[in-house]
Amino acid sequence: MNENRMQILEMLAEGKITADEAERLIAALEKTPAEADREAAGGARRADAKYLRVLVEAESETGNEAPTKVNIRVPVKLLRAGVRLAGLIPSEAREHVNRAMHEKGMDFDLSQLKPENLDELIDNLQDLSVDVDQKGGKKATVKVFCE
Amino acid sequence: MIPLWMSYHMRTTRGTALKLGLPLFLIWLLLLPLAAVIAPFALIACLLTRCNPLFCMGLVWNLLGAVRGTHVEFEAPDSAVTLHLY
Repeated sequence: MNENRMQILEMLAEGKITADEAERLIAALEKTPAEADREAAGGARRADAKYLRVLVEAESETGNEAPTKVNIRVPVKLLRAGVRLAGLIPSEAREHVNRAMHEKGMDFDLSQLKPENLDELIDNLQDLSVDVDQKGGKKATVKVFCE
Repeated sequence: MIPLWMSYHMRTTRGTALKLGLPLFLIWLLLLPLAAVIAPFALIACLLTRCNPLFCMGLVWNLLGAVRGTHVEFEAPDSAVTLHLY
């Protein structure tokens, strides 16, 4: 057992830290330098993400023409402001929206929409690609990522 | 900072092309009297929903400011449209 781990266990025994805190500290100690670097880079990426980009490329109806392309770049700041604005929705209206969405088959709670959740979403949204099969065997690709 | 300029480009395969630069700051100036008219109603709405009017105003300002940098590009075989907010 190394010295750092021993120190954490001693602090736990003395009641200076909780079991949960001790577990987190030990987990942090167990991380390899490569993992720590990767995590740091991820954090930087999240902080640096300025835009949410959506790229859509769909094959044309005839298949002979150039594909239809959509390129949308939305500032992440706009998403954050939107989420904060959603917090102003009165609870009655929120319940009404939740009910309406539930009726449409979407179990979504508007009150769960928080800026922290958006950060988590951006963090995980490194490169999302969705292939869509359209009618007539045509294909479309939707790419969503932060930059 | 709220967006001050908008550029709109459109072209079709038939040769029609349109390049438009829209000075949004003039639109904001034109909308200013309207904002003064809406303000009392917004204040009443804030009081009814128990929101801090200054906080709400800050949020709306943030939202407007965050729109800057938005870029929308659509390219179909027969036409293309580009919109950018500066």
